[in-house]
Amino acid sequence: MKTALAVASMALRALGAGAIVCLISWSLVECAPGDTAERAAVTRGALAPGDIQTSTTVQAELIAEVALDFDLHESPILRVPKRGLHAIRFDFGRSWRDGQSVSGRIVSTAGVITLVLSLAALAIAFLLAGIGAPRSARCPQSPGSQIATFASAVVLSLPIPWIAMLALDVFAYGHPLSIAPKGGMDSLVHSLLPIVVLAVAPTAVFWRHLRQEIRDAADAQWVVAARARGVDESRLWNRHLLKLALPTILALVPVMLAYLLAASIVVERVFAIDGLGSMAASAAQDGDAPVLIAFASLSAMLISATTQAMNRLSGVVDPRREVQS
Amino acid sequence: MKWIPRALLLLVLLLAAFADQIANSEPLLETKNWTVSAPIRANPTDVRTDGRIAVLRPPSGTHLLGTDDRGRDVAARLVHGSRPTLVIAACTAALASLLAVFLALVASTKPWLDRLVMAGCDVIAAVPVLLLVVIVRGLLGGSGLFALILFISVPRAAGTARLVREQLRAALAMPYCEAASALGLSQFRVLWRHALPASFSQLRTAAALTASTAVLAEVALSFLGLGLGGDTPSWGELMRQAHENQLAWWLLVPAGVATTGLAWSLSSQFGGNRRA
Amino acid sequence: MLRWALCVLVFASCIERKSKKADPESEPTNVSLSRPTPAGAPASPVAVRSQEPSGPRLETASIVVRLPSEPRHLNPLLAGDTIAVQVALGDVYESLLQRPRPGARPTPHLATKNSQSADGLSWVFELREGVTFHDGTTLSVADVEASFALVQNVVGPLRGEFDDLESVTVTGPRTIAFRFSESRPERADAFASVPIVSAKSFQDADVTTLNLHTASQSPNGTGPLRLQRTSADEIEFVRNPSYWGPSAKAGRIVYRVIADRTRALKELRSGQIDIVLGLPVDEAIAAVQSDASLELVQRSLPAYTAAVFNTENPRLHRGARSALSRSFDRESILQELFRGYAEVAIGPFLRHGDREAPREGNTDFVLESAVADLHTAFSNAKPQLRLLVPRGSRTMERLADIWATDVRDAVDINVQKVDFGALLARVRSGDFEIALLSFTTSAETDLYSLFHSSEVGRGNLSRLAEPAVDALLETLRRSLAEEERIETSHILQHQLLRFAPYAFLTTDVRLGIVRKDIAGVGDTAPAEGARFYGRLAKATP
Repeated sequence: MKTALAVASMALRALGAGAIVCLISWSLVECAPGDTAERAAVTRGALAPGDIQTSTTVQAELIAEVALDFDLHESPILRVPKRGLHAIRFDFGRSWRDGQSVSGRIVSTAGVITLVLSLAALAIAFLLAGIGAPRSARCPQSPGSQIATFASAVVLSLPIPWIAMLALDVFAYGHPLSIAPKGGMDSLVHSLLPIVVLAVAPTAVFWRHLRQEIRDAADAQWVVAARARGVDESRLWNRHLLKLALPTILALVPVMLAYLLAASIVVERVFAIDGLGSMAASAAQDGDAPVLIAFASLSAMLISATTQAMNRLSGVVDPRREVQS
Repeated sequence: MKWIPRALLLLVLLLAAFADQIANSEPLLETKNWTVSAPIRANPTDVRTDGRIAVLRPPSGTHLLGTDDRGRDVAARLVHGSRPTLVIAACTAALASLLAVFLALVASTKPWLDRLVMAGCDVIAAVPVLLLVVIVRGLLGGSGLFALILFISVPRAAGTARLVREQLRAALAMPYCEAASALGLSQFRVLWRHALPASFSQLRTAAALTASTAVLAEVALSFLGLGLGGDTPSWGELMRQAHENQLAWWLLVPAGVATTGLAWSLSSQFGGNRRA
Repeated sequence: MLRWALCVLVFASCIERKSKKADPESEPTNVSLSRPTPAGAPASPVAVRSQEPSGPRLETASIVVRLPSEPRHLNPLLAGDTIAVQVALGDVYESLLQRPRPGARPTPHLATKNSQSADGLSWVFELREGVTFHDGTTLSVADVEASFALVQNVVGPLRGEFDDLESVTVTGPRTIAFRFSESRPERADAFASVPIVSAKSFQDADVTTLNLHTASQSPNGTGPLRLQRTSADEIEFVRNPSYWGPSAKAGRIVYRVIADRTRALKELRSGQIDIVLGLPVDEAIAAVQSDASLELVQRSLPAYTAAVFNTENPRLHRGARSALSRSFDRESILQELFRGYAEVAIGPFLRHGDREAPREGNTDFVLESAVADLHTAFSNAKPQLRLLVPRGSRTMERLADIWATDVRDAVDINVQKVDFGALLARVRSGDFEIALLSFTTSAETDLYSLFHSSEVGRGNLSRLAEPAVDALLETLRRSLAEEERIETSHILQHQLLRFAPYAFLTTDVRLGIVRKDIAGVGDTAPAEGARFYGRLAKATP
């Protein structure tokens, strides 16, 4: 019962976050210069961009037709709250570009693809950081640790499009090192390269924070006591200290998820993946507001839900945090 | 090792400052018997070399880093591309810092303002810069340098405002600020003259990180076709061309190396090598 | 020390002694560009497919074809969707006549024979027996009558071709006669472009919303392929088992909508799709070079690239247009952007042999001369002109940028990338100065619709209104004698070069890529309106 209430509370907060983002975004759209219906007509292709400055009867009719088609004929004061409420039930309207339902496309394919890629990248980042960080914290002066420290600093300065294209060029396209299939998204193997590319920066971030946390915790008295009692060094570093540092990493998960959603815009473009990021990139170029707002709202919902979930998980991993909170 | 980021930054600054002297098809100095030319004898916008169009050529003696898909010299575009990148980085850092200071000062005046402003900042700061810029740019339109700087500055300002606000709170709790208040100075004067200087070191570090973020964001936006546009040379635009032209390595590698070098050197300034 | 040495080295490389031969008086100022490719030029293009796969054909195979966008309808009678014509005409819908190959005279197809009067004003067709539509109804003269009624009533590309149709009369159980008020030599080609639709399918259809009608969305034709299903991103056709002619080779043809070319190539490499057509030359070549299971095919639809000038704009007077036309470096465009897979075009006469007048004068491009001509034409004013380019067409964007850079000393060209539909709307309404377009045309180019003053706002995109050109176009439309037509064509071409409503650039080429096991594509294009996808088959390795 308690769990169900907790889940319900999380879901409500997430939906609320999405609705607020939807409201703010639509308000921005309405406040932008020019008439919203005219901009929708240009995105739809019913009007040429240059026609906005000249008004004729035909253009007025076209704009009215598009306004009716996309529910833009009501007053903004009415339609903005209405859209916020629709967002709660995942109804983001229809794309101004092609008239298709935004939710349908997101739920059926695009959203699932991006979510799978992001979660897989997070999992890989967790795994690699969880293996490498305790070792590095244990031997900070070792060559491997120093190289890793330097690399993690540089990795965070690598532009995402560059990493993606380098990976594609080196590991695909018929090169001798070609290990990744060149196309398709119908299995995890085919998605390997984009997932690895997405995981690069989160791995560096997790690694740095985990390493720092473990090193800070390693000076505690209980560690000295554990050593004195004969606890194995590997067990000490890889289990006890790692577990202690996990809540900090869990707090970073929502931040990294937000980063992955942003990075997916670029990575999906490079790998030609038909995901949410690719949709958002095309929508930004076309000025397709419903798609962009759907992306923003869903991101907010996902990040809000993840934040709450990670807070609770932190309490499970380290019960002291739950008592304190 | 500490000198490497500074040297890299200095190198890029010199490239930007003297781009016209480094990459120019016209001779810099001409005497009766001698000609002094630029090391890169090409303009960033010329599509012809010796009267011919040569599209997507790999590096050669004539074009050190090859040509792009319009026949323009890549090395010249790389050098001249440092200018808009540095301008965006510097202006974004400056604007974000100013906005952050303004927000932190406003938040420090009243408790309810503090809660309101910080809540807003937390929400905006939680969203990655690229995500926010893509969405806002798509919703509001707006191309051009100023729009780009504004769109990148706002989320960074939100993140920096909290840092500055924390420093202001810590400084206000110090005895010298209390003494200043006791002497009858106005709240604004205490904040401005006495508390704010304590946050300068954090502000400097945050500004360096903002500049680094701005470089990466500008490159990503140019890659997506949401950057400056037009004929303006840009490192992101070189990467976009690489993507459209079978990942031609002479378009891809130099732009990536330059971006990485600049972003890393900026983020490494003032010990600010922390990014989450 | 090393740093200083590096600086000295760099500085030293910047200084050079002037050569004694570098006398500005004697140095040629013109650089002549000729066809031989310079050193470092791109490697020779990959050869197109020369042999069909030899293995036995798989009768039940599915072949997946990429479509660049979702067609708004599947009715070739309607305007606004070339994909509808590509998908539906020839394989789903058929015509009374059909061209056996590009440039050949159309021969009877759904008709068994046809005849025309000596004055070319009457045409009689005898309909083939045993032809059924996909819904089982038999083809009758009523269907032919209904099809041509739609042609005349619907706003579409064919209305202009039949605007002189006076009557359609059923003269027998399987005979139908057409009466025209004018004699036009391209009449047979016009008949070959009209799909014969079922009268029952379009019964009581509202012509103003025909694109939304069920029959336009779910075609019911007589062709070797019939519609099986449609979804958001796929259109599936299957073999028509009751087709009157040779059956389709493949069991299923699936058209998959993949807007992104990179994704399309990715799916082609992984085997999820079999054919991608309409690719820019360099992309197609690069894809084939990196994957041995793919082959290049050249689908040369008659097409050309041209810059269209708005002749009604006072700044774009005849002298300015001629100068702008001469400022395009066609040979370099051909070599660098089309990698040699195109030819320089100086008019809309595509491989018509005698129809094309011999080229006049020196066609070598000299940039300085071209810029000087522009200065003269614009009286040294350096005007700003907008150039509209279809968004998404990389070749056009590159061409536009290169041209704008070439002429920047004399003219400030502001390149604007606009969606194709919006671009066409602006051009038709006259809201443009220069537009860069690729024109797909038929083997017999309908110059009347392109240049006659009565077509302003429709096909006459340049809004040219010249009585001399009108007279020549009317003569060309009426004359049947080949010699007269050739002579008139030559004079017309000369006039078009003189008035320069268009700057013809290159004959456009679109390359395609197919998987090696796909047969029936060949290395030449089928004639427009003839079956294409119905010939495709998958061969065993």
